[in-house]
Amino acid sequence: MAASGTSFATLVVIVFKIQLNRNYMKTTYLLLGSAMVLGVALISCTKNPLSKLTAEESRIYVTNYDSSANFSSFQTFSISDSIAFIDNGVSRKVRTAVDQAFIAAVRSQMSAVGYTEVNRGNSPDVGVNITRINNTSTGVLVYNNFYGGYGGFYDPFYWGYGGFGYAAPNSFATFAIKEGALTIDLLDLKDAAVNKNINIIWTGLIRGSGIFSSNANVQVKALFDQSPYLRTN
Amino acid sequence: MKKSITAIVTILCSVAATQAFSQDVVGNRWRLQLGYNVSAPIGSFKNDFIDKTSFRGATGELRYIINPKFAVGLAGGYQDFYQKYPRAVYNIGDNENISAVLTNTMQLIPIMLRGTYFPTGEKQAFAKPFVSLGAGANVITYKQYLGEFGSRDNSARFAASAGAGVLIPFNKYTNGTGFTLGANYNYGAYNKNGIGNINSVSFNVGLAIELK
Repeated sequence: MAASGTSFATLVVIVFKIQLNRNYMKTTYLLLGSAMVLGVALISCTKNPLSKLTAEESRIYVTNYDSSANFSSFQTFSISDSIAFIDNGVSRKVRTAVDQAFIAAVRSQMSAVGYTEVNRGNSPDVGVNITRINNTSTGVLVYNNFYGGYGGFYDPFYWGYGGFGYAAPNSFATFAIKEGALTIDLLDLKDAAVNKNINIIWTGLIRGSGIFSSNANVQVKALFDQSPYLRTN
Repeated sequence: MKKSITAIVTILCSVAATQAFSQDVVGNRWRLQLGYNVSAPIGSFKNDFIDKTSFRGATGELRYIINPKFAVGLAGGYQDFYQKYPRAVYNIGDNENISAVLTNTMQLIPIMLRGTYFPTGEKQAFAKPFVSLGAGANVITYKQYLGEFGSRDNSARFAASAGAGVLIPFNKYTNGTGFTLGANYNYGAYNKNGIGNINSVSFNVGLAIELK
């Protein structure tokens, strides 16, 4: 914008020059030149949306659920004490301070909507898997494919259903993962024996900048807040 | 679209025919018009996409003076529209919700054939009024960002514009060179991404330059 201000001043000076010196040929070229500078300055003023976003504004919170699930039919939940970290397709368990903060945030939000935490051995109705995805070298990872590898990231045996597979919910619309993301999945363990499958009944996805350097509570709460159906009553 | 262009060309030709050779044109017949443009979206453009006025725009036209009262020109321009909406939750599927800061942007490059009518002709005056009518196309770059994740869509659509303004010559020696002030109503066809049209009202200040 400073550049266009300068060229506007130049134009004004030239206009006065016309009054003094009627060398039209020269003046015409000067006017044309200045106008072009002004034009280029204006075009370079095009707003860049990405540079106008803070880390908080850059993030999106996406939730999806299985519409056949009756969320009030579940009462208890259990959450793993570590997070699956999927780094370019290879998974491992992690438990850094950041991971613990996200586990604690999910635990507190689940309690806030009425679910009671129990030990994994006490037949919880709902299992919670939290995943951190980092994808730097393999290009774009389509979210739907992520669920294809889900059984490999989370051994169903952990939830007491060795041999079962996971059934992914309606996949997210159009999101491809280029860098980092965090997902929270709620699993239907109550009906797993009947379904012969561990159905994923709710997924929350956080994407954007600074997920792991920002407040975990605020981010997890955003996912729960936009899912009013997710409660015991 | 074809009909509108035919209509405009017919008007241009009939005006040119009745006016031609009635008076001499003073100076060079080629003129250049350049300006700074402010544009305010209206209608569906405003209601469904961006309601903020854009202060980042430019216009230009290379004009040929057919006769003292009438000119035709090739007009071009650039306008950058931008708006950031605070965080909100959007439903994007049966069961899918997304919370995001929404940013909408649109860059328009209108390219038009324009006819301009000066009722006072080449007569010397402090201010010479004019009206104009143009038709052509907008080259449109649509972008929408949910947080930092964007989608983009390029297209070209029919565009037309009607305007009025004044040319204020710098002094009595220059007939075609001076300041210009004008306003335009711009019709822009568009029918996708949930937007029905990209109409706008614009104001411009600029310079008219007689090419010698």
